[in-house]
Amino acid sequence: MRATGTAKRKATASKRSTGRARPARAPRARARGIGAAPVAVQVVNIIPKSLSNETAQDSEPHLTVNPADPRQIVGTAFTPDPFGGANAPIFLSSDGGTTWALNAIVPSAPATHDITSAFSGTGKKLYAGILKSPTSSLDFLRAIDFMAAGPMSLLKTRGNADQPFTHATTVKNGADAGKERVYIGDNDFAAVPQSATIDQALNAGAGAVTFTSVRIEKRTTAGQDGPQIRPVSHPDGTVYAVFYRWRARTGNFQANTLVVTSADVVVVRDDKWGTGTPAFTALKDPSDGLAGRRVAQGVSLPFMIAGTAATGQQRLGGSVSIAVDPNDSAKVFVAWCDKQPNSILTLHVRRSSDRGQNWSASDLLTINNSTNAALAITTAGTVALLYQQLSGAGAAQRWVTHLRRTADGVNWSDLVLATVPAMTPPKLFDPYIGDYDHLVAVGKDLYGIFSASNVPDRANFPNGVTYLRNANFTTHQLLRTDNTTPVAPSIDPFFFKVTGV
Amino acid sequence: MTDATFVFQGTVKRRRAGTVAHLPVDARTLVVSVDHILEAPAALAQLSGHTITVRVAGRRVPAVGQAMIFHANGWIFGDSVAVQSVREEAVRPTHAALLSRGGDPIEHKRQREIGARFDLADVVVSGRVRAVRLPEDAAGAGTRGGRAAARVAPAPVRPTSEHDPHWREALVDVDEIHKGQLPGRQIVITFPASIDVRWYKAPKFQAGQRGTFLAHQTTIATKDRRPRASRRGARAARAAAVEPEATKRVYAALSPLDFQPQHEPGGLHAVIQARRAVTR
Repeated sequence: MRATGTAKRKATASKRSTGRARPARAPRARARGIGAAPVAVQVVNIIPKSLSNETAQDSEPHLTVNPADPRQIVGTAFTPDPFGGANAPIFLSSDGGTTWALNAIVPSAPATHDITSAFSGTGKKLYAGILKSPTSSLDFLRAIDFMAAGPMSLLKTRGNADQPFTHATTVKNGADAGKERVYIGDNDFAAVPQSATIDQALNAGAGAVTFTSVRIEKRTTAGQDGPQIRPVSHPDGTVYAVFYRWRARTGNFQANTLVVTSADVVVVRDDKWGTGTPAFTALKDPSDGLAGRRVAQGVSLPFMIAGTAATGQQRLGGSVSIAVDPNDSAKVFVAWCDKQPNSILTLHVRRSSDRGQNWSASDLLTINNSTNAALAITTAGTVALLYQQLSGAGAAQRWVTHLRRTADGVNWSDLVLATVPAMTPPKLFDPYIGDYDHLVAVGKDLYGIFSASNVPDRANFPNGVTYLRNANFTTHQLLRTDNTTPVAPSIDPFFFKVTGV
Repeated sequence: MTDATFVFQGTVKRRRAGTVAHLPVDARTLVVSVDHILEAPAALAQLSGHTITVRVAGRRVPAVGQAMIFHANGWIFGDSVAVQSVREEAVRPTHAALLSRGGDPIEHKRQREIGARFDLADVVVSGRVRAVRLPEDAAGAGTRGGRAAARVAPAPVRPTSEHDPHWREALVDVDEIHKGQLPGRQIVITFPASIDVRWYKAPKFQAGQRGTFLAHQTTIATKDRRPRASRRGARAARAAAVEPEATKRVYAALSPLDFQPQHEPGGLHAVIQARRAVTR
């Protein structure tokens, strides 16, 4: 297996792109770090050159970086197979995110209804949780080599679930060293009213893989939990997850008036890779003695069927994220969104230093008009928060994608990765930019992905951007593969990397 | 033709080589010039004259300079394109008609897909949408039966998902039946009103629409499942085992190919004419 003539082709491509269109690639930007030291920032529109004609709504992105080789990165989104075949594509990079290609290996035609993926860190193995098209079955998948041809193998399938969120790792020490763990958070409607679920495979690399559904909701609900169930693990075997417990709701989903009038933000923990007795019950709430520490109680949030002009075309339904310090599994950060006055959604960040038992009494950070929170922590202890904020009003509204970082939980830097028109392009479907984005820390580097309008305008990307697809940054036009004919704007996935933080 | 999504005539330029970064290359991997496209998705229709990577299906690898017809599916889109051939044929005089048929390769592919969708349909009719309504079971307590049930049990709360279809029914007055049988001159076609990523491509019927409808027998969930009271401990685990959802069989239109407006030329009209010609 080898790549052929990569360097030569890159040089040729670079030469070609200096023709009619202005060169798409910008030098890697230097932005100010937390302590005012500059950091290197790379932002890449990952639609490849050969797909320059596309106008799909490539929203709801997710990203995974191979911890065994961080040059290997996989992104996913609602991207259809350009060939119209039986398999949806993943975006892959083998050079740390500089160049990207689509590999159609996800058995779901022509796209997925939801997809997240994760490297385990064993070889090139990739795991994914998807809602398969056209049936929307919840499928758990595995590829031995994410770069190879042929569909991913099906590990388990069942119906009636929502928003699979995939996390994977490989045990480094102890009796289980070398075993691959896969945790997929999902909202399992087969388990209503306690629908928050973690499907876990504790030896996912085995020939026959066993997934076990762990019901992590232990309290009464208003018929179900929220769809966002986010797991994360630490190398010492600690596994956390966060979710919304829906307690009360009013309004009508079809009429776009549904409001979850009371919800708790619940964190669960297992100290033995999900084998605790019972699993994910290590963290009790002192007020009722039940498993699952309530970080916030009685919050309210809209649960929209469709985005509107007032919400920048994006449907809103809450957002949660959790990250654990790779150096200390007792240190954990949580982000969630709720409804506050004069804000479409308000983002909150809090911290625990005792394995989730006690949480900061007030927010470390509170941000109005924001969604798609994603947290990560580097080995240097830097806590990073990715989110997308709606700014401005009316036709001047913009989706602004921020990366905030802090070393102490008090002082946060702010890196604007993109600021794009919220009403251009008009949405093709919901969700407009996705019900989530994603952020990953590997060592001291941060890798992330978000979806945004792809109008090629340097002003939209204050820390620089590289387009692999044909684009003219002078006329602000996307161009077809002929590098001449204009292409309408659409939503694209953007990869970014911030190194040495 | 085959189930391949990209059919083209090409000439082998190099063996054991590729045009795409990230690409694994082996003895079955060729660099091929695309000489003449016969069928293609829109994303590939401009590849004529370009060189791409082809991974051949068979053990017999064509020689450099050999002209072949490749029946291929997608593999990698990067700085260039790679496809996986599912079948290769050496160009022969018998291919002359195929190679000289002209026309738009995208339209050729689309027409084949419409034909396949027609063949899958249980009923095909031309007609007019008289009305669009909520399914009776979705109306729940608003129906007579629903109100009676509401007196004896709390109203069910359906689990809410972003991917809910929001079923609607189009009551279609039938002018002509092109395929299948109906007991009368009306058909009820169920469709999703949702514009969620799962459903946005499905036809969204409106009263007064005229055209041709492809209806597929489909099983859909109907009655909302009644959530059980939440219990703790071991009882909670039992509560997780739920009653099976109620379902019903309907005629549904779920693909954008399942409807064609009356005045739009080609497409389904051409398929219907072609099928009629065959049966005559």
